[in-house]
Amino acid sequence: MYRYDEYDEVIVRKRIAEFRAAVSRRLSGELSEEEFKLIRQMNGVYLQLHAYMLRVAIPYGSLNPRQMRKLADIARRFDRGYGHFTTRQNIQYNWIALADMPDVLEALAEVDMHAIQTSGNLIRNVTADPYAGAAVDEIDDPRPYAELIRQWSTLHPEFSFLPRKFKIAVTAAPHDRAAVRFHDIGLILRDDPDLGRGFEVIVGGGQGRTPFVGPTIRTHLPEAHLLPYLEAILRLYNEHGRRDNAYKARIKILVHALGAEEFARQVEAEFARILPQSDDLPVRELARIRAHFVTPDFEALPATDPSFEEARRRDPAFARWVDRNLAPHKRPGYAILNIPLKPKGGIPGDATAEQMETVADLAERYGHDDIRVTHEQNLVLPHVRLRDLPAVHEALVAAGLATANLGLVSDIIACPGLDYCVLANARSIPIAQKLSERFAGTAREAAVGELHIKISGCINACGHHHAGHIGILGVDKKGTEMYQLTLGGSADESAAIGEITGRGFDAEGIIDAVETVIDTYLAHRDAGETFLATYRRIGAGPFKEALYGAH
Amino acid sequence: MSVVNSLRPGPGQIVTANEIMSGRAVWLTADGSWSDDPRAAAFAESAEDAAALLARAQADNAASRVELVALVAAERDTDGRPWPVRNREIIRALGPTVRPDLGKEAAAG
Ligand code: SF4
Repeated sequence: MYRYDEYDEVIVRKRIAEFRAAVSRRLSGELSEEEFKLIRQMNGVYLQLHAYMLRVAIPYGSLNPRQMRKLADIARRFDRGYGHFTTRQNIQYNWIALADMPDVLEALAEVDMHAIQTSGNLIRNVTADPYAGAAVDEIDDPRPYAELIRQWSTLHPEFSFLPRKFKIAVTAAPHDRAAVRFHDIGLILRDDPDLGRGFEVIVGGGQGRTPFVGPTIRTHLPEAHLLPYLEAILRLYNEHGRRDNAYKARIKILVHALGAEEFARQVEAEFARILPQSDDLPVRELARIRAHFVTPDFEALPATDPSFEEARRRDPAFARWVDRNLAPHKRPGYAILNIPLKPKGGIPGDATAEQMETVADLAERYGHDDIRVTHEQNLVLPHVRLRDLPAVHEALVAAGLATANLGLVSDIIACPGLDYCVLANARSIPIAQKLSERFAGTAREAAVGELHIKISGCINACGHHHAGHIGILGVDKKGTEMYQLTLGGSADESAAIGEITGRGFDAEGIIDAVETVIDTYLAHRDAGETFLATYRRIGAGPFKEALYGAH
Repeated sequence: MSVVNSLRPGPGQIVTANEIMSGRAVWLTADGSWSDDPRAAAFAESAEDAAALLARAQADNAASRVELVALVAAERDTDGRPWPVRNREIIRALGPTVRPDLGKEAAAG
């Protein structure tokens, strides 16, 4: 786990002091609402429908138990006992009083956390594969690279006022768990037999009003050239991104307008210009950072464990949970444990202070002090011994965290929507809850298997609906909440943008529409075929017919 | 919790904002104070009345009492008290529909 150095510490403390001063200047009337708004947003503070919201950065979704306990403590002391884990691997608090904000930031600083880079037109908190350091399919731990980018981009003077926000995601595995093709820059680390280690560089992906699957502009970038290359991309964007129109200001619009080839050509030209001037600092930095990501002290274990196998045979609930929520670990005798924050009928991504503490305890006792947050709004204990899983399961059951639904219909992503968000057109959470009520834990859900439903309350697409196998977008139609349905999206290495099926549905109708889509899939699927595979094979036709009748 | 769906402009308007310290949704009353309940709000039926209410609210914004001042469409409930028309405003009045335990009613009760 990375520890902040003194430099970070100084920045964070200084920012809190400045923010504290700004709060009192706003309260005394010295700062106007507009002036203060710019300052509070730089510190992750938004004003939502019912209260102030604080968005806390969780770099690459990685937390230690001390940090998780602090998050719980803040939820209890300053909020209403819970927090919301987001699709950006962050946590948001919904109810923090303005006067408490500086104290909350102080509390976060005690555990090396802050809210820098969670808002504004700059390089946002870097995200990464939540299985980093544990996944069987990764070639290396991507977090040191993410940390290198974080350090380089934090308060970067040239890139603090970009045309729009900028999101970077990193993975080092062929199976993409970080949605790299939906980021402003996506990086995939690979070992090439001839060229050695390097990144595939993807630029201009994104969701929102104009969704794009990002094109690759470089298939192999040597790791030592990472920062100069990112600098070249950012410089090009900073100069040519559209500042005149917020809807066209993201880099995806620039990449699309120029064409990926021309964009790549211009990046390469700038890169060639700056490369000779760049020293090997990034390489040395990387070595320093790597030293902080110590590999846990893994035990040498056999691949199976008798007590684990016995529990599996004896306890069907445990067996279901194991089958659904575990992923293979690179070390024998270990597993990656997913903890879905998606209880039946619950609010996706919400966790109570007690639940956070349970996860912190388990990470400490059984999980090498490591916790991850996923962009699917779930938590992960990346390193758990098989033999400890029965005890972990028991504790999770007691905390209401043992739902065995990872990747299933009821493992739904939903943004806060109109229940909290000032920008929303419609509610998202109640739709997720109704779908979950209908499907969670049913035989049908098990029969359907892998199916990702994603719901956004407006076109900003924080709920990633474009990338849902089934996507739902809330719109406001003459004062009524209506929901558009999209099918065939995907966030992983098979990245695709879902297609709109046709006219939207009301809040009741959308639940039935999803059911109809699922029925259609079950009627058409070949043996062992996933929803996405069936959709890609048969196309939208049969689904549209089932939804709207033959025209 | 059900939300009435309607975008009728409404026969009148009320002024709403967020109280600066807590951020909670509040409504401007006839005596110039801010209430947690839109039913206590001053109900403007003419453009002039609405403008006067808005001016008063903006003065409170300048004096750092409230943020995000807005005039919103309202109608009268069966008891003749103001109630907002749009979903968004109704949700602001009631709290998150998915957490009725945290809503205004719950807090008051
Ligand atoms: S998608 Fe829209 S409604 Fe949902 S959180 Fe983002 S801005 Fe708010």
